[in-house]
Amino acid sequence: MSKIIEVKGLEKSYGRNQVLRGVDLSYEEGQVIGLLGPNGCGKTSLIKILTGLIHDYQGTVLIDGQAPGVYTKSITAYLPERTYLPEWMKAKDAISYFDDFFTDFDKVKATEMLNRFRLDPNQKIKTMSKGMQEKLQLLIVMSRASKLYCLDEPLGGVDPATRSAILDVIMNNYAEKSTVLISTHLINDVERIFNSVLMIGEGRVKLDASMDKIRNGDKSVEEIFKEVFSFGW
Amino acid sequence: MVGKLIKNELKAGLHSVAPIYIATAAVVAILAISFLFEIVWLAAIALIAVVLVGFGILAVTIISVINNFNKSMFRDQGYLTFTLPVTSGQLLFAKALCSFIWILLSYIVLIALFAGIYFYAAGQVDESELATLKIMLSMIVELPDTATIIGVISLFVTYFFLNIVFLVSEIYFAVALSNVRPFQKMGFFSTILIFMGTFATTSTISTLLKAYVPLSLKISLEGAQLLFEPMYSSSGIVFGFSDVIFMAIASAFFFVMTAWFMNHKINLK
Repeated sequence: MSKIIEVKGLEKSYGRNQVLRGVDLSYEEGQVIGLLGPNGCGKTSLIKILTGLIHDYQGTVLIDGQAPGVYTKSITAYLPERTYLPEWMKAKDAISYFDDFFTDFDKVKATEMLNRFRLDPNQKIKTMSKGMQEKLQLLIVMSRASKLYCLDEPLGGVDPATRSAILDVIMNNYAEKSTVLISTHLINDVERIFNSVLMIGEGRVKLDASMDKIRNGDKSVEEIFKEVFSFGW
Repeated sequence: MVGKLIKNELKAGLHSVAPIYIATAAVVAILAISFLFEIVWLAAIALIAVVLVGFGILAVTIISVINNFNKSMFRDQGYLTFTLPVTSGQLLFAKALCSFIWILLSYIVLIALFAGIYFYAAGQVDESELATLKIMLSMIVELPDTATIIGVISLFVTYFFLNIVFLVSEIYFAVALSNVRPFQKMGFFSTILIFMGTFATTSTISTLLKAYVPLSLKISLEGAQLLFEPMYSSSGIVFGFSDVIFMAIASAFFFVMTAWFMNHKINLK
């Protein structure tokens, strides 16, 4: 199996504030990775680097063997923790936009999901509620058959029923052999879908283990999380 | 990909400037109706409104160019823009081209509106349009040949286009620099401040170059003539050539710096 993510000695600072301190990672394709850690631990910065949003870092980052750039962006589907679709767009415009730029985008699938979520294709994003906007973004991102999905806090700020629906959308729609990196701190809800868990704290990797290994032990992911990040509890 | 970027950029721009163009069309329609039915008071109000929307088009277009660039690159939309599988050069080119098109269109509409007002005013003081055209034609006929006329017009158009490119480059540079860490906290105020500073500096350099660099182009009845003397030392219609070269170099510099800030110095919040 080829490596989809390879990170060596990754460091990132914002002014004097160092958020990543020598992070090393390596993942093969076809995994669902839980990126866990308390707020401000560097999860979003790591995702931004992987998706090519941050350039000024030290260390080596390779996605499918290449440094973040045009190719890696074409194979990476990114769901940020905020609404990034232009407000003037209608739902159908957003679908056309992704169809224009991403060759792995499935317009039929996106339209079907739009109907399933009962979203009006002619409704402007500006007039949608935050929940509707999040649904639209999620369905658009998951309509891509990407090699890597980077989902930054897809469950943040939603009720348990919606959380379950979101997880279903993710699990039922990601492409075969793809790798899904999900950043979250709602461990209980998502623990079941992970193959691997990556815990980051104080800018360093605190735990990088497969779920099989964790299940063989006597502690749940949440218990390990509390143990690792006891300073924050 | 550049074609797709341009298509979507034009769509985004259209949503920002459409209201002012609709307002202009409405005001022009009211003006036409007032002329047709000879409603003097309505014509007077509509005429003032046409002047206001004329300048409004230019102002709204420039504000929308600033706003669209800032929002689509350095605010939440930047998370989408910067994850598209395109190079920053392609991104910048598509945005700059569309900004150029919108600003050019606003100038064309502004000129058309004022030309319309002029012809209307000329008609009101009984100076027939035919007589005006005859005077204009006689001025052109006195020029030496068609090639020179075409050359002079081309020069004016190139100079005009270059000015728009220069304006776009200054705007983009100011917006990008204001999103670099030390200026980020000041928000939109830093964009205005940087733009004013850049504009004042480049204007001063441009004026000094015109005054002291011995390179200019003189337009006269004998045709276009390259002079090796400063612009202000000759009489008649004279262009400072050093100024044109400076604008071209400065535009390239501002675009390169904008791309550099995008690639190296800006972290989306």
